Amino acid sequence: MNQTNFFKRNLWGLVALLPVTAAFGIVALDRTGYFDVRSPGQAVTAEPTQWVAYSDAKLRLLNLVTTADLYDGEAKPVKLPDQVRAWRAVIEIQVSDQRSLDGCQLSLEDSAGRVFGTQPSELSAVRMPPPTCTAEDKGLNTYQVTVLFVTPAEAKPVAVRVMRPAALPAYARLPAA
Amino acid sequence: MSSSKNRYDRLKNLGGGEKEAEILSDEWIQAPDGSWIRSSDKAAKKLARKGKIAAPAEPESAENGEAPEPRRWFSRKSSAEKKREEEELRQLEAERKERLDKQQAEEFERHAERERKRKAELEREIEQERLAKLEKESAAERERQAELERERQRKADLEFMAEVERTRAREIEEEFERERARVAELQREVEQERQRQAELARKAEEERARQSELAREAERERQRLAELEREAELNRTSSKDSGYFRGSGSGTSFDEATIGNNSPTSSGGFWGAGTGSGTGFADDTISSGSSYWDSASGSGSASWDSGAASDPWAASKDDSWDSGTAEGAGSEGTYWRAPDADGTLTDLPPADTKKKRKSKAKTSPAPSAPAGPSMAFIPPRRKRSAGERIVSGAIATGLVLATLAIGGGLRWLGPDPERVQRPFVTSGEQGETVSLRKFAITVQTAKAVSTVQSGGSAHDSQGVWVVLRVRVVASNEPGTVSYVALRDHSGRTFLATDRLGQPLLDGKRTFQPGIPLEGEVVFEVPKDALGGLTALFAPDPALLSMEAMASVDLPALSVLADQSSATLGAAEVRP
Repeated sequence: MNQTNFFKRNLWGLVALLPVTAAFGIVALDRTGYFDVRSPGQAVTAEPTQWVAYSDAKLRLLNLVTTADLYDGEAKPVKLPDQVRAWRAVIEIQVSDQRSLDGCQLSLEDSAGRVFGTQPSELSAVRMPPPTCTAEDKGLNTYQVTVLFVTPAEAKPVAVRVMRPAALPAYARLPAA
Repeated sequence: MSSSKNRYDRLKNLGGGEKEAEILSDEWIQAPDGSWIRSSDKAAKKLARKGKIAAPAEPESAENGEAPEPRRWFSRKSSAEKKREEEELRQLEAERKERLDKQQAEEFERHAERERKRKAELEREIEQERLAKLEKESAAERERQAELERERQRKADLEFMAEVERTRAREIEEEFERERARVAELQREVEQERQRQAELARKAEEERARQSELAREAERERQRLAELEREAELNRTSSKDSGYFRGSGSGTSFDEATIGNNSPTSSGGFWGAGTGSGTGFADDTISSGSSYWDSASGSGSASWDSGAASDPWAASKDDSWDSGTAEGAGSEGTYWRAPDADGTLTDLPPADTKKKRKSKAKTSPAPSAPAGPSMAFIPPRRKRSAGERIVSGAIATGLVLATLAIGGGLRWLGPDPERVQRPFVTSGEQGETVSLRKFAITVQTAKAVSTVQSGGSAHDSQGVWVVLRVRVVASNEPGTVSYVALRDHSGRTFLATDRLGQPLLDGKRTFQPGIPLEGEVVFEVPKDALGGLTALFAPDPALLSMEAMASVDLPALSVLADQSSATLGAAEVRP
């Protein structure tokens, strides 16, 4: 009885061993969090006001300014604390199919590297549309979206980030002028 | 010249003044007694004659010196007067007619003028309408041209889409064709594979049949050998002298050089398969147990001769087997030799000599199913005894139990998963800022009250309300503080109450980096838990394992008489 005969006799067993080993490997990797949602780590950027190609779309930051034009549902002005400043970002988007930007998340990056999210609780009284990268008319190919952020008064925003989970770890970084 | 409106005026104008003067001369005059009388009355005339009143003025007969008309009776006219009146009437009629003609001419002229104006107006309106109509037609034409242009554009788009669709259809058709070809190829391969499987099954069936045939022949051969052995034993017992026995019949010859020779050093004793048409077996020491099978032809001791067609091992002459002693006859180390491709015999691991000897005493170790040239020969499996099976089973069971014991021991000796995956706790005191990876939190005050005012209503408790005022600020990215709990000295954990709305840490509020928020967190705990409380804060209650957690030790609390109630305020941004 020699080695060749052993492998020939157990050929199917050895073949079946491969998927079993792969399954154990996948389970082990999953337990280490290998398949968890990755975090954004690869910025796609361009010069200020220039287009950034990301997720089958082109985006650019048209405007990023502080704003005090904040009104509640009864059209009454909303006053923020002195330590907080509101920012309004206008992003222009060119896309052939808006579904390629579904589920995108917007955030504001300041000079200290801090990231501020949308719909802050400080603006819970302000009437504003939900932050999204798509237009109400899904047939549009070029449109603008407006997003509000709040930061500490001393913060200096430098860019707006656009992140889509399906495109991770890449994210679009739209620098401010 | 203004024309009179009535005949009286016209007659007056035409010279009827005499009669009028006469009539007018019959005027009222005032008598001396103050009464009024006509001047033509007799009384008036009488008074005039008496000079009591002024005599009425006599009408002038004629201005132009014509003779006054003869006096006539009232309402009687002379023929001349009638003629004159008729003449005057004719003149008046002529003048009237002339005026009428003139008026008619003027009226006609005015009418013609109005008609001209109206016609001009109509022409202007018609012109305007015509212009408007032309303008409308022009606009309609432009619209029609635009519509035609749009139609052309739409047609071009449709043609383009149709071209794209045709291209796509062609691609799909090609893809479908390729897929069909691939399916056909796969079907051919499947058919070939099926034929190959059928061929293999047929070969396997033939092989099984051949092996069963060989097994039957081997069995017959063993029976025949046993018969021969019994005959040899009978001969050996009948004759004490050395000799040899030559088998006969069916073409098989057996040589026994030293049947009954028990000398372990004897090399001449063998069962020899003759060179005839039979099968040769050699056992140099049948009774000694150090036997071997030797198929090497011409080895002198034993050989399988494949010269005969009836040789059952003819098909496996390349698979010759040789058993012998490793250290000569009488040695305990029996080995098996398997031939290589070039015919060289290769030693196989030695088997249990005692068992082999025991089995040799029963039957010869003849292969039961010799394989073809490409198949390995499988020695016959020896039937194990009940004791051997019990021992083997016990050993296997023991190995399994040992494996389980080792695994359990490793698990028992290994680290506790709960301890290994416990949160990374950062501790602090009241008033001290505890910084975690995602946020920093400070417990500013802690108090125990019996009533909490929230939303305009008071909330009582069978236990005690513990109200913490905390300050939270996120570090670098938006985050939440969803796990808030109190742990007492006995290890019990109390989550923030849901009996009333938590103003700050409700699990839904997202903290933005650098914007500090202050507010209250309310817990409801038993009265015996007030001593040695610890506040715990973490980002997510579902991910406490191996996650950062802030632990703040609170001082011993008690419900003070002057602070038995607390009012919850809204969360607020504080610098």
